[in-house]
Amino acid sequence: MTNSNATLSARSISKSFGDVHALVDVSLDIPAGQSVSIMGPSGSGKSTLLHCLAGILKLDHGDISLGGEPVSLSSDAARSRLRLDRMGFVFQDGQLLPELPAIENVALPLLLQGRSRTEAFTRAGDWLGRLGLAGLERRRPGQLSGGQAHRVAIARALVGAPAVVLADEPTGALDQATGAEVMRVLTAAAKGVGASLVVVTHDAKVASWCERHIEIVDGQVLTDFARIEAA
Amino acid sequence: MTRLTKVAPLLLRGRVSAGHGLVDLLAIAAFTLSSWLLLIVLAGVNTFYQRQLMPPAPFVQALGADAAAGVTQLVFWTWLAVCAGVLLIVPVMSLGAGAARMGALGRDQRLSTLRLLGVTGGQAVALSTLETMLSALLGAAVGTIGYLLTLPGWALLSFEATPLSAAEMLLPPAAIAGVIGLQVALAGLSSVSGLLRLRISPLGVARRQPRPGLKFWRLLAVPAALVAWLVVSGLLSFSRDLTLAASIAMIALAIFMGVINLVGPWLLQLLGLLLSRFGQPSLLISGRRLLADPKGAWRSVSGLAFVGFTGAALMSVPGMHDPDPLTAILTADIQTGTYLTVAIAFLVAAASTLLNQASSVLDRRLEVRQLGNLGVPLVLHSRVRLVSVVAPAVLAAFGAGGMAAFFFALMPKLGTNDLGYWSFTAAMAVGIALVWAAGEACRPLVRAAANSAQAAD
Repeated sequence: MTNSNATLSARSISKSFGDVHALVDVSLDIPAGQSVSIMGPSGSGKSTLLHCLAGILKLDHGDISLGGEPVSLSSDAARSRLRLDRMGFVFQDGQLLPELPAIENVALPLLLQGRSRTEAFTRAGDWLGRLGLAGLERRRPGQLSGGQAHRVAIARALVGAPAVVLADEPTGALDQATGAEVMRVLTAAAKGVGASLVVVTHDAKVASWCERHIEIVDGQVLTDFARIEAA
Repeated sequence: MTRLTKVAPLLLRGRVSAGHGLVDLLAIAAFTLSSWLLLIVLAGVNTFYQRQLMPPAPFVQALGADAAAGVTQLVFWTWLAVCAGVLLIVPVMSLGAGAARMGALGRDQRLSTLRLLGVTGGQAVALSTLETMLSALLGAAVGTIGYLLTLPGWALLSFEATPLSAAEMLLPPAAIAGVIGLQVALAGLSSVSGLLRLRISPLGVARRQPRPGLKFWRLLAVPAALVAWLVVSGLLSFSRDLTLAASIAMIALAIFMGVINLVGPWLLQLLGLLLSRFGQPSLLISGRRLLADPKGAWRSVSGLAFVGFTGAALMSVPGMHDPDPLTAILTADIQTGTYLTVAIAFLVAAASTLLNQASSVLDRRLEVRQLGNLGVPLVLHSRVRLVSVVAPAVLAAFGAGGMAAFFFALMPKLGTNDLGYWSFTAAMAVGIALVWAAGEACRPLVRAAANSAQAAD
């Protein structure tokens, strides 16, 4: 499956850890605005794929590009900058800075990009409001519920208007109802800004929120299909 | 409790194999340094007290005809040693307390799991405290060995015209046992107080209780001390009795130490608030970290504050031309003692900083790695560390120094001696540089955390 409007594109990528072949000749294109789930059993290589797509791990073979810009070939500093400017991340446990109030956690990527404090805080406040967290801006992560903390993490991932949002088991630490709510907010917010969404999960219910499903087994793409919408 | 003693060794082994060995090693090293310094400080005070009871022959000979009057003034040396001990004891004990807190790192999650398995809250706390006390005992034992092995080295220093001897610096066995016991007890108390801030519920939730902000009333200690000082400085000006003057000065010093300890954390909280107002991420994050735990940040640099205060106070003691033999010996001893106190205080401040920063990095390993995933450059962590370490050190050293200069300027008859402002500034700069270097020593830890292997899932 190829797409000429692809935002994120991987070409024949391979990655090994010693004798373990985590990814073997994987190719995929993720168009702008599409949500994709990557599923697979434990040790299948799904998190490795996510980390390679983000440029966190260096590839053994192949190329990855984001909007035509190489992800895999540039220096570590350049890849970090690319992630900061064009990617958003949501982790399993939210992973917010514990000392910073919610609004400062969300504003942080913008401040790191060099935006003014006023602009960063205005946009952060706007995103918190959009995600139903108005009034909780000054609360620290320890004073938020699990679901609220995840919504703050989603706001942080989207505040910089990224081209792609990468989520690694984003609901792993949540109960089913809160997890569903987080996925609803995440998919809607990413679609709202036209960002692609890549979700690594082992939970079929979480994957069902995405438009496309990729299954990885032994480092290779086993299935890759789009969800068929009910008529 | 027998169940706990069966479980404890398993947990200890698991902790080492899970990579917490480095944390425990650092904690034990800090306990070692803390015990060693505590023994040295007590041995120093004891030496001067013993010499007061039995004046050393070289001192008597050096004074010649004035010996009879001179030996009655030996109490002044004891007082000075007690003063130095008071200056050092708080930061040294804080180092031990910091080590206990560090030893508790990463235990909260494990305690939650134990609670889920049916261990009571009290048993969970007891298990963790037992481990910490074991580390403290090990550290204290190594520190004692270090203290005993280095005893002959004290002969290089001379006080009261007499070189120190190993025999003089050797504390009685009961005192050594007391220091070890104190260290272990303090570690246990620190561990319990740290764990009380964790709410370890049967559901396994281990969330840190937020710390309330420090209140403005702490600042009221300054005008109160000012009034007390005006009274004390008046008494000092009129007193011709060296012992009485020393006693009054000692009380004043204790008051000042108390005031500095009350005001310092509040000022660091204020500094954190100011830094967090900036839009630069490094200032914002360091400011928030200071705000989150101003007392913890203060503990690292309190030694610098005490040295800064004393250094500036000593600047105000006038030098003398053509002093008599007693004054000449006293002046030389004050100088040696000051250097020794300053060196120990710097060592403690650097060790505390290393411990706190290493503990902070190890506690935030996941955070560092995931911030790296977000695209946050490693240099941000370096900048945050620089601001978090150096800003409190500068505030502590020069804030306390400024306070001392102000208070002593109010005292009649005093000017500045040869030590001078530049010497004071240079000494403080060395201390701050040491603290900075200790913080920078954690750089490889941050790099290791950022580069820690990704799961090949």
